[in-house]
Amino acid sequence: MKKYALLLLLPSFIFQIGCTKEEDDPTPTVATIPYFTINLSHVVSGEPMVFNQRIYQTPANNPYEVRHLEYFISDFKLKNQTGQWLTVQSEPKLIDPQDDNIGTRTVLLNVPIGTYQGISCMIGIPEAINYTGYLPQTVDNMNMAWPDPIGGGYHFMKFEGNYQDENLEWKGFTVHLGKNGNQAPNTIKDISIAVSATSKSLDLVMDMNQWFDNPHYYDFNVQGNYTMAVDSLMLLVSENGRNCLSVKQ
Amino acid sequence: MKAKRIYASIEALLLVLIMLSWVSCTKEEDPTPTPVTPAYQTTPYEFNIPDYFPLFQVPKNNPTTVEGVALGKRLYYDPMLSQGGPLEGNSCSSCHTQKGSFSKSTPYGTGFQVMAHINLNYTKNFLWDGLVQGELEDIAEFEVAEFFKADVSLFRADSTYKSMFYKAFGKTDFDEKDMAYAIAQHFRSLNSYNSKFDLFWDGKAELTPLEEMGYLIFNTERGDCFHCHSFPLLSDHDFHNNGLDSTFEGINAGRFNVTGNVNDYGLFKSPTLRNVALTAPYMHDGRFETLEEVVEHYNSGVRHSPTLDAIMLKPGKEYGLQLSPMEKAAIVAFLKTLTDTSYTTNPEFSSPF
Ligand code: HEC
Ligand code: HEC
Repeated sequence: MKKYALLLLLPSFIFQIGCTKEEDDPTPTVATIPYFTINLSHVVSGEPMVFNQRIYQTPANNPYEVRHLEYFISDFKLKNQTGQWLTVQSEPKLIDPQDDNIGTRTVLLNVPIGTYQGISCMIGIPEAINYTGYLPQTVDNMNMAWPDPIGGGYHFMKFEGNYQDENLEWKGFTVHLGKNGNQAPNTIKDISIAVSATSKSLDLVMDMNQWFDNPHYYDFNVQGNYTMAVDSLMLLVSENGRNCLSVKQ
Repeated sequence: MKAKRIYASIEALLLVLIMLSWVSCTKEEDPTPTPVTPAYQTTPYEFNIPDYFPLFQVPKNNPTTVEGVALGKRLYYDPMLSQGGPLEGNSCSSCHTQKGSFSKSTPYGTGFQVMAHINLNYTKNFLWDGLVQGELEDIAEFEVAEFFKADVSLFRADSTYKSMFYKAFGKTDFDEKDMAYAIAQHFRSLNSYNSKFDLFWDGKAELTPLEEMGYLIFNTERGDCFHCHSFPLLSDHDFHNNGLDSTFEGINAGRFNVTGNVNDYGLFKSPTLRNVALTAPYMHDGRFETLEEVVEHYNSGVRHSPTLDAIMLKPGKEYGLQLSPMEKAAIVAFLKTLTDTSYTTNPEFSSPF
């Protein structure tokens, strides 16, 4: 709804610009760039992730393949030179490397120009807005719904594939996260991120194996291959996921 | 898949606004332009889709109009569409019958079960194996031009169609594409949202204890149906292997037949479960006669293969859901709440002939 309100405001805004641009604008504002793009890519232990290839091993040595990956990324903050974390405008964005129409990027709006020394964001959707119906009701967002009978809101992540169990049999796994408390905030510090008219994007990399280790060693054969709505497992995985992102150098 | 279109429409909106602002600033210099009277006048078609449905998006190049919908419906019911073609004697409605939610109980010659026509505007994947992807315009053109091999000249020679095409599109030299656009508009009007489940969802009706039990099994990890048959459309419109087969030949190879990718063996589009009580038999080849048989499939009949969807392999349930007889009955009871007879009896969707 908020988005529509903004759209309604647009005409008057544009009229204004169109008609008054010769007059001086007296209020100086912080220089910003309208869009700063975050591109996501995915690796498994440093190697580029490809779907449907039985070539990976979890840290617990479970051979596996990835068949599907979808998640929300949200709540971006940038750390400025004085060490303060600045919240930047962004909406939760669905990421899906297998669907070009959903894509693997998100945009931050009106980011003040400058050099930052850290970035943070979350895999999932912040608690305050994680309720059914918050996001624009696109089919894709609605397919991420977390059913109301088990809490409502949205799936934060669907990470699915097959793994080889201790009897050498291939079986499915579904690492699904949802429900407040299981968001995976990520904070990347001690880096240098330039935001300017010529530096308008940043590449983040998600290492899928991070979901299975640090701080909790996760073995499909021990902990289980199905986390959906299993509170104890979602907590383990989401805590591991707090280290899944890094900045691509 | 929707995102692109949203952006496209936002871009279009911005363009219009920029043009407007330009107009507003320069209109003094401009002599008053003579207003262009449109050669033909269409009436926008009004949708009453409930707010818990996904955003209803219509491509800019084919706005839904009362005239276009009426034309599309006539084409849908008219056997002239197949005259001289391989399906001579058929109209779309020969196989897509209203009382069956625009499906039919007998399979087509290829072995594929006829798919229902209901809330189709929300999907980009058409046919069981996703052979056609894109907009409703694309599948409609496929059906008219490739499946029916419709003879446009018959329609151009027909005075009723001439007048209807003029009213809908402002032209009489129409082609297959215009016919497909009209049928796409008709599809956009075919929306169903008056089932008992909808009333329940909207807080206007209560489910019986058995139906409610089924709803909970469906919607929790107990039955875990919702991942593929997601609310409120009861389909995620994506492709999955739900364990019908362990070897894949002929049409059972599913999406593999389209992509040639071995990872797509046995994957089919999740069908909507709206009006599912009216669309027997079930699955792409109609192998199950009843909903009880379908539930028994999920309960104990799931076959393993490398492409089996991971959701079908929950720990302890690798060989099915292991539901009690009561739980199975509850799922069936819930599925029956998805029936919307106001849709299957609505004269607005019935034959104009
Ligand atoms: C002879 C029977 C028959 C006739 C006539 C027929 N169809 Fe179908 N229709 C089918 C079958 C069978 C399928 C599923 C086929 C498949 O998946 O390959 C289908 C599927 C469809 C679908 C896909 C629905 C979905 O959910 O993906 C659409 C749309 C459709 N038909 C439109 C039409 C139109 C438009 C006409 C008339 C021009 C028409 N059909 C005439 C048998 C028929
Ligand atoms: C992994 C995804 C998935 C899950 C989970 C799933 N389904 Fe399905 N369902 C499908 C697909 C795909 C088909 C069509 C398969 C085919 O025709 O080959 C289907 C078909 C059906 C049909 C037949 C519909 C028709 O028109 O032919 C019914 C009924 C059904 N499912 C009910 C359920 C129920 C009840 C559950 C939970 C116990 C469930 N499904 C769980 C994917 C799924």
